[in-house]
Amino acid sequence: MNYPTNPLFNNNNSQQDQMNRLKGTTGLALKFKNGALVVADRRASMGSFTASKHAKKVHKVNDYTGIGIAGSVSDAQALVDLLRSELRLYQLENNFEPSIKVAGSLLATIMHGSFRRFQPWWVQLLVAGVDRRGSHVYVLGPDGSISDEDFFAIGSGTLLSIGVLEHSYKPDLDKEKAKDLAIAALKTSLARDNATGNGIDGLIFFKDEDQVVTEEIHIDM
Amino acid sequence: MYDSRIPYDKSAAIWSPDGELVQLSYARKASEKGAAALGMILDSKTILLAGETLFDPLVVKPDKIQKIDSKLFLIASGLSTDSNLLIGQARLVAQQHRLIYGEKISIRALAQRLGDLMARHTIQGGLRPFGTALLLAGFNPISKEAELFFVDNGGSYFAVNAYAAGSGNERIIDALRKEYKQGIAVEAAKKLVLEIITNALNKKEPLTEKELEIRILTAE
Repeated sequence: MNYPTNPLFNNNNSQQDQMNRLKGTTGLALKFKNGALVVADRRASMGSFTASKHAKKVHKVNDYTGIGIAGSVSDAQALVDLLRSELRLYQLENNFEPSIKVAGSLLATIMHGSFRRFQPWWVQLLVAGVDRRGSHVYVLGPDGSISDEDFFAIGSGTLLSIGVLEHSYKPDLDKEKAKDLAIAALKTSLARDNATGNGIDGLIFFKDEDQVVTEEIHIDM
Repeated sequence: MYDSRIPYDKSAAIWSPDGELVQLSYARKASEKGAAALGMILDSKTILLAGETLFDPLVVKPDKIQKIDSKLFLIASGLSTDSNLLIGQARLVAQQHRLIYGEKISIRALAQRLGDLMARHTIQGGLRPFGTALLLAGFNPISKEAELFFVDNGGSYFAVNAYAAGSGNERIIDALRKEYKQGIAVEAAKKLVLEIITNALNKKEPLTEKELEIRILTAE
């Protein structure tokens, strides 16, 4: 008979074990006609244990850039804080706002540097936002890889949610349709993935007469 | 008995009683020995750069205006070895910025990085200030607007509409204060620049575009 071990006192830090902790989340981001959005669930899991029912996985780093995180909570929090400070410094040194590409490239540089030193940041990230050049979604892996996408999902529910997006996504969706699609795609993971659940949080960035407006999504379950 | 104190005009790291870094003033004199250089924003999409190229039939004409990155140029006036060091550093910083942030560096950020390096050389004992002043010209990576920065020997930097470095710089700057107008056409600007530099350097013959390297930068 298998006795469940208490994950809080589990000393097994093997890579496999780390991988299991990594995957408990679903986050997704997509571009739409005049904006971009990023959403994620609220469950933080440690193996089969739900460590938190209100984990914050979508972070605003400035007025027009949002980050969705999956993986090690501590790594992701540290990285988001670091990025927020770096972007403020960038703004001061250049005297203009850093683009979404700058945020993505900087994260990729940091993550790839650590990966090459065998101390990877144990996270997958979504960078979504709107700048002067339009709306952008970047996906980053723990190896420091970065890719420019129209839509993408991260975490354990990736395959479930991306299937829904792949089927219904169109680049010219308006804001409300994009929001509905994102929530529908995330709900598939909430329903079918054990490590995803407890509600939805998100950020929508869109252009309204040259101003970037932010709208928050909060859905309790 | 041997006096171990260093006189204040012998070190860049010691103030004179009237609050001057005397070595820095000497360094400015060194950069004023360099060939004349001038930068001018003609309109929000066009910049004119001009550099005097000293004529010696034995020496292949050197480039006064140096490329740092695409649509980003620098003119250094003063001790050529110091200039070369700063040009190399500018290119390195520009590429580092591209690698880290995935985008071209702004003129302001580059001026700050070079200015900081030059300032460090006036603070730290054992080093001497750079014998070079810089003009940096390019376009804002976001707004695409023309930008021109001047960096002084001591590392202070500021955005300018038109400025000069090297020999005759004070007289050129004085003339620019009177004559400079934004929105000037390219040909008129070339004529004005040749005239201003000819007068400032007390040339007998008017300078032509042969003795003066002129480059017009236009935004993409």
